Amino acid sequence: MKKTVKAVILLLLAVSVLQLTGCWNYREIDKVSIVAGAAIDKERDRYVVTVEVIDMKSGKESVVESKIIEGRGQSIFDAVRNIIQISGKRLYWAHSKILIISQEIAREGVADVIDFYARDSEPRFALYLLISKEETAKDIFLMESFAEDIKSFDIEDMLSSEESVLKVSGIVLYEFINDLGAEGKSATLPSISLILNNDQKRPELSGEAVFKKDRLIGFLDGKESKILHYILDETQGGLLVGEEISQDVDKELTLEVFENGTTTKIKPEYVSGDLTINIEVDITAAIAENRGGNYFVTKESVDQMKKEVEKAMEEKIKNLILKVQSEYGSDIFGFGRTVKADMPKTWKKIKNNWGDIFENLEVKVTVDFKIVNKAMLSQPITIGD
Amino acid sequence: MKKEIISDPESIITMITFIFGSTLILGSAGDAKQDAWISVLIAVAMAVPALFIYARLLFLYPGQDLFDILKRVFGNITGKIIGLLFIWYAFHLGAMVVRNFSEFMAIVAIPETPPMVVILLMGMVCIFAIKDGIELLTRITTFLFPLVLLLILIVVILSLTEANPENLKPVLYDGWKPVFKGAFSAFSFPFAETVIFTMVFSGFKNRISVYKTYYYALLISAVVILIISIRNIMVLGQVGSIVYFPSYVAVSVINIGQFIQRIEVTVAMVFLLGGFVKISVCLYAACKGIAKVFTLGDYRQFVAPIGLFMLIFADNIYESTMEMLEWIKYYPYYAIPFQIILPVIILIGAEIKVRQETIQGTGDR
Repeated sequence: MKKTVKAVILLLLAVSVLQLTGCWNYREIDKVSIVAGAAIDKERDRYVVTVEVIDMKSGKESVVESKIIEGRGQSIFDAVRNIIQISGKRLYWAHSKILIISQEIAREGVADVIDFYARDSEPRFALYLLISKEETAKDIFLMESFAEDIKSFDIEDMLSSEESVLKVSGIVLYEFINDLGAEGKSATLPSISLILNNDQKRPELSGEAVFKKDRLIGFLDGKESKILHYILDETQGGLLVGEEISQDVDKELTLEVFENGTTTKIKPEYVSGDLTINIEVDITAAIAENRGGNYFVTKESVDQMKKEVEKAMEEKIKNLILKVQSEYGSDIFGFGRTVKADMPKTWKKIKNNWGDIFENLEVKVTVDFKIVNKAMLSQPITIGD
Repeated sequence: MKKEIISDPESIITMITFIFGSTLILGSAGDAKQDAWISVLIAVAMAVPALFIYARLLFLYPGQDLFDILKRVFGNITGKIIGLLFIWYAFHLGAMVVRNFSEFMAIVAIPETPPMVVILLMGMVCIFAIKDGIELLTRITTFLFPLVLLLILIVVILSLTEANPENLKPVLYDGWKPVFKGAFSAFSFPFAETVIFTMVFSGFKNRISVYKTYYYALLISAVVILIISIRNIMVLGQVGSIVYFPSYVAVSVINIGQFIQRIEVTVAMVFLLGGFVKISVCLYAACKGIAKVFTLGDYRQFVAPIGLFMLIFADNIYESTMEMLEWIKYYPYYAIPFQIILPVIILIGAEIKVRQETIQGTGDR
């Protein structure tokens, strides 16, 4: 008798296991739309969220495509939920890679927009943020994709391989929030626009968007952004061409910068109430292209080139800092943060009028340039008869 | 009732896992921001004398737990009243950890599942474990602990790719005040919570083991918590102070070659074992206390009712996550009587009593 009861109980338990599997409100993969990227615009008082969702078709050959859907709402989340009415599926954000914000919203302040992405548990903190230079953010999704079938993944690839071109650097959500909250460092985000490339609309990472507090106040173009990354010590390679090498543009030389040996040190100096920032940039490079036919064999010619490059780079860095100081007044170089880290006591004294101090800050730049090799050719190609 | 004997490594590992508990997920010394690691160091220094008190108590009366000691030192009535206070503390602490766990699951993984489901699933495991005695718990912990430690170390090494040492600067920017505030909270949560073990451990193999257990556990757990808090500061910087679960977020940003990513579930796994051990130990302490204070024989018969009561309590102690985090701010003050004041009084009483008993020759040591 007792054994039968035991057996029945065991059986009931075993059966109940079958019903208790899975989660409370599980979502099958065909019931959700996986978001690859999103763009946010504002239309009067309503937010327009445009999402690129991954559309998987099974069959003999599984096809991965993407579709663009937009939703409108009073808030971002409202707009996101309204998309369900169109797509019939709930959006799943954990795989989203990029978030494009329109200029208009950025000028009003981005903190309102990124709150949802930081607060909700689905989008990840490693989400790339971009500012659209086009009229609206969703315009970027008009692009033709190139390497990947998903446009957002294409843009992500561009951001992560940008280091060898070094015009922009990808900023992910948590880094941006850090920059927003940091004392003495203003945030920048890469800007994106569309260009025609071989008759196709392709996105281009055109430079950096400059923020003051959480508001967009201007853009730096690609060349300026490159210099910015030298100052921020984020250089991971890239080239130096034309006017960056020499004041005389006819020096037709292209240098390839190596990450190893290229560093920047920012040293603040505070003497009797005057703050000076010393920037020391070390650049290590190789000759990658030599169209001018210069030999650079003798010590003198190499020294002369070294001097010219140093002079040109110092000029470039100084000009950029001057431009940012006078036009934007926004400390995107993080000078204030360096002062705070290295001289906390001084920072406490000056932090309340850091805005004014930054605009009139004296900056000394020294560039130390080192050329390590000339790649495969020891001499330029000689042209005979 | 059979005597429960625990070996040294088992007790050390159980205590370490108990200290990890919810700390690795909630983070410690959040007030101190980039100086949190200094707070942890100070908290460890503060914990050394506190842990000495707990260890000394058990050392004076080998083979007996806090409730036996209370009865011998303060007599039947007073001893039982103090015993009741400690039962409440163990019970409440267990419920808080259960709730931490269910809030964590609700926020990061399953927001729409009723919290009771998570609470019940976690609680039932603890109840079953404790029903089979503390030995079982220490053995399963000993078995799983190397895995957990390995996981923690691997994840820490992987997160070095995202670490930025600049985030540690400037040191002591806001002065010592927030650092001490952080140290105080890191002291009471988690290090001084080991006071619970005075109610748990009575069956050591030899007398000196109790010191060994407390101090090895403190040393190892302090090193790990220190590493974790430095990692969190270096990876997250400012963000670390605005998220509820800094470790979880710090690990979630790891992305190595698009290949090693989304490994934050490892943090949840560590929390799972830590939470399980902490809840079980608290439940064990509460049940054992009730059995002893009310002289009701074997504690095992209370495990299920007290455990279920703890789970229902956990579901009702806070209205929301905000309230839980608010309470964590006040928790150190609430815990002072249980972690410092009462243990000191008991130790003084015990020292006097032991000397009297030795003089009178009635001590059975």
